[in-house]
Amino acid sequence: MILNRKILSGFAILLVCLLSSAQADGQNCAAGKVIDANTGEPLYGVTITQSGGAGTTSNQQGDFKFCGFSGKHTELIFSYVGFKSVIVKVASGDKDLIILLSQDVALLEEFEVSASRSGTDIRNTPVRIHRMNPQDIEKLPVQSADEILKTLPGIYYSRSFGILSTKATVTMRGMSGKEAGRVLILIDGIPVNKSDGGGFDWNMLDPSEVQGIEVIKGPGSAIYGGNAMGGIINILTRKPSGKLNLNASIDYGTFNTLAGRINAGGSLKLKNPDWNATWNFNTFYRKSDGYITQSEADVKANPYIIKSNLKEGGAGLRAEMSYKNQHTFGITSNYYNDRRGTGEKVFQPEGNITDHDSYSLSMFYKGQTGKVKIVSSAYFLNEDYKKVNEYLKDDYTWYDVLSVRRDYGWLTSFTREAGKYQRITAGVDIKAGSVDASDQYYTSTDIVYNAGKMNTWSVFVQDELMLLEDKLSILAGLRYDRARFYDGAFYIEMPTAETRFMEIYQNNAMAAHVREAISPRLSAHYRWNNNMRVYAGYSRGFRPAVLDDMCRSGRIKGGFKVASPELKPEYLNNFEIGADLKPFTGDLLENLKMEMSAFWSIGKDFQYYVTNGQSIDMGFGERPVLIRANISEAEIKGAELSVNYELKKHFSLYAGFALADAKILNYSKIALQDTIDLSGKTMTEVPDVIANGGVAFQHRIVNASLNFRYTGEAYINDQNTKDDLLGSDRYPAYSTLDLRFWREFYQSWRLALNIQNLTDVKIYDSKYNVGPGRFITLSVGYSFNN
Amino acid sequence: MSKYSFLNNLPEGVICTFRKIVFLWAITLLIFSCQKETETGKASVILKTGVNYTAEGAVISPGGTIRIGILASGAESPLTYLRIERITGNDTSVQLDRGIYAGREGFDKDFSFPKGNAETEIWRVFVMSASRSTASASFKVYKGQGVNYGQIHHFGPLSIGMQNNTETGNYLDLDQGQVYSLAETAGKEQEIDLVPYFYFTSGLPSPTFTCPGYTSAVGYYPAMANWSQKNTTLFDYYTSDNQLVTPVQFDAALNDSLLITAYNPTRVSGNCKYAYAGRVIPFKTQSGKYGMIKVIKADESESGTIQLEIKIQQ
Repeated sequence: MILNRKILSGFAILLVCLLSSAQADGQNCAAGKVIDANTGEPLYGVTITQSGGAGTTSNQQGDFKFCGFSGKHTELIFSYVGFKSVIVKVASGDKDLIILLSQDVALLEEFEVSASRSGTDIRNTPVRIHRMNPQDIEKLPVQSADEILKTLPGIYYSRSFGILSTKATVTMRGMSGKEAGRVLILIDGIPVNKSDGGGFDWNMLDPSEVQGIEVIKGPGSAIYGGNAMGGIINILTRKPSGKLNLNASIDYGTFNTLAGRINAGGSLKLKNPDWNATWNFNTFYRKSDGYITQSEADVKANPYIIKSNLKEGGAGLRAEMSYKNQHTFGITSNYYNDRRGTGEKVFQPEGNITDHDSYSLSMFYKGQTGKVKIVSSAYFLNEDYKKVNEYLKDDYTWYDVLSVRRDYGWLTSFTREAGKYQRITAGVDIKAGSVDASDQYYTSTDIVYNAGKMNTWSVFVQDELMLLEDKLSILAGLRYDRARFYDGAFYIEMPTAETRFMEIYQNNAMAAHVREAISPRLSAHYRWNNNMRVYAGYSRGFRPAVLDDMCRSGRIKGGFKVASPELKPEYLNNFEIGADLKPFTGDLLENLKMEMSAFWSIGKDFQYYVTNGQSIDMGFGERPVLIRANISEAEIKGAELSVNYELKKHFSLYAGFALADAKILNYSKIALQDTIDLSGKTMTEVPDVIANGGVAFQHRIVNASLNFRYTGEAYINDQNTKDDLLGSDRYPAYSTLDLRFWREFYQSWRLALNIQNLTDVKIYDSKYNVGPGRFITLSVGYSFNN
Repeated sequence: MSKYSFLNNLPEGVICTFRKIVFLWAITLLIFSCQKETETGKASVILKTGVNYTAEGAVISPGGTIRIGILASGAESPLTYLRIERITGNDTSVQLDRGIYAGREGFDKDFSFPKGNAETEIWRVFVMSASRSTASASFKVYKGQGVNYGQIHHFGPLSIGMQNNTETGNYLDLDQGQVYSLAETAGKEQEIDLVPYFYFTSGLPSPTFTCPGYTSAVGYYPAMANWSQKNTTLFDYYTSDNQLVTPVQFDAALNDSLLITAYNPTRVSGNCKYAYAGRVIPFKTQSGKYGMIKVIKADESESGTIQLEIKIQQ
């Protein structure tokens, strides 16, 4: 309660301060409208900057107002993705300026991407990349940042209980939805997959903070190292625009869900004109009464079941300073706290909960010295995780899982143009991760500890060749990763019957060891013209063993898992071809774009839980002892097709279709008694088909978007056997339809109605817990740009 | 002039900028800082005395009853753990290991256990609070002459219905060997010790015994949700699963010796799965009586029946 009150009063104070400061300054202004020279349509989101740094953006009607320049005149630069930038000299007091921007086909897709870590534009990167811009994201009715990715082709997305989910998973390219660590997640280039579990806590990123997303399909370990097996997701967070900008909104919706967000930023005027500084602050808070996620049978059987609910809040501050636009320094800090009730309450005030206290600090430098471009980042991520477990059967059980997970590192890359056609990038990454965790029982004396550390250092080199007037692009890369696991331990203090069965698996001093990975890439594309490109490539990805698998023993679904300190990384070799087409010319279909890819991957040393031939009584009869082991090869093949179409900016359409077939090959048992043979089985949670599509329509009365998604059948377990709870071997296919309506009022105000899962489809997880069904929110927002 | 001279003399504006940033950071930390308060308390335990409880130095024959009355408190913290041990020489046998939750009202409960064959036994009661404060109390008893194994009741064969069987009674009073229908349980809720149900678990069909005090029992017998007293019967599933007592041994038991010794308190639950025909399941009722069930026939159907025999201390 105290935390809530603090957060709410903080919101109120900040809102009042920012609104009053926002309204205060209005001298030396120029205003007008930015228009598409071809269509006459207003352009929304055009960046308008004064040489020297300060800037603003145009609103949905294309209107802009730029204030605060010294003197009677200044030069403003109008830039917009896909359009030629223009420089216009304006005078103080200009009110009705009309700025015409012309489309530049050659620039339509040019922006820096993270696939190469060298700043190469998307057109010259011979891999499959999808990018979402603020304009794309604005059209989506999403409650969580990961949901934004649902609209991209071939993305598998799992968030069983909507906003109430304690974890969400995003995978692609036939990677199992049960394995979060097979996709690398970056935030502004910083890796955020945890060394402990391999995944990322998507809840800590509020969707309003996401300015753009790049998704690089397929393995990318040649440049980024571990976890980049299925692909790389780089989330680009909101950057300040203008002298001062403010966005604030309040949402209310289903399950009495209430959310508030404030984002403010801007540039600061410095006495020394060589220096330019920007800042951005954001904060959000959300609470929801939630709903009962358990099945009716569970509810009947357990009088202690309650609604799963949610309280969460976070804040972040980012500051950047640049010197003569050649050297940029930045610092970012974020804090996030949540408390998610997981639907059962016996004696504890809030029942079973998960609680994350996460904070991060990162710093970066980007600059150029001579011909060498340098990008260097240091980061520190800390997550204090707490899970309260309590239940009453014939007696009461209460224990807390407490875990401190830390990841930090330093990433540096150097890029140099080597002649006219070649760019070489090389770098060094140093990363470290650790976990220090315990299960602390209160209804017995037991305390179960696990801990471990892993340090990784890596070197990489990459060569980009642009030949035949940039028509032929070749990307070759090689990376070496060396990881050292040490200080691994699993032990129990004061064991009782609750944990005594684990005693034989104690290991206070797990042997340190080193694992290595070499990740090459070779890919190329040929672009005949702006309407056609073909590409082909080979790349390798790997996922390091996670500390949780190496150091922790404990109960899991289906048995008891024992720590596996000797676990090795798993690898994926991927071969891929693809093409981009703009098959039509002429006014109507000129902007119809098609992208297609086909891939074939062979996995090696894939990690699975397998029985070690032993069984154990954990207090409810004999169960198999399972261990994570590198026991199989895998073959994954698939194809993706996406279509995008935009008609005069006010009507756009997208569609995606992806097939995936992920098979386990050459399963090698580690125990003779193992009766399971996974050879030829399909991997868990890999839908055979994912199809999606949507339309967005912008109109002066109301803007609307409709998004459809079909997720095909997927196996529930690796044995492909019938699940007792679900009564089937596969999750059924399902379709969802999401709607969003929005419009602006009085230039600064915005009203939005979001309807997710319009037809209220009930989706069940592996424990037969049910998803939230239809979810509706109404949002009121205010934005200010100066 | 150095190439990096811009780093040396930061202008006032830059310093001012950093000040603003630090100020905003401070606000952020202020808003989101949350002080967590922890309660501490010292646990205590007292053993009740009087004619109803076994006294320090008591002499009891094997099979005789040791009665322990416990008054315990966690002070400011709730009391969350209770363990009762029998210590004979270097051997410690846990007789009761329970998670509990007793708030400010404290914990007040009586237990009974059989005297074993050892010359001396130390009985130790150990409690722990949520703040992990612990306390213990103990007393010593000596072995008396002869044996004191008691008489038993033998009931059966009895038939009880699974959860969807409306023809045969589903509610069993183990003490009296009496089967009740739902209507007949009115006013006798405190007598019911066992209800059966059938389901599939881990891919196997499982005729299952449970008790009113086991939380999930209400899922099969919703009427029990409103019962004011729900007995907890603890079944020794380990002995049952591993068939450590045979039907022949069950048939041969003439006093409570086997009933007491077969019951292994470290592997017990209020729910006993896989109650297949031919299995013998030791149990202990809430009132402290030891017994055994011999399963004669178990239908693998939600509307089927289980036929059984019971031997229980008188």
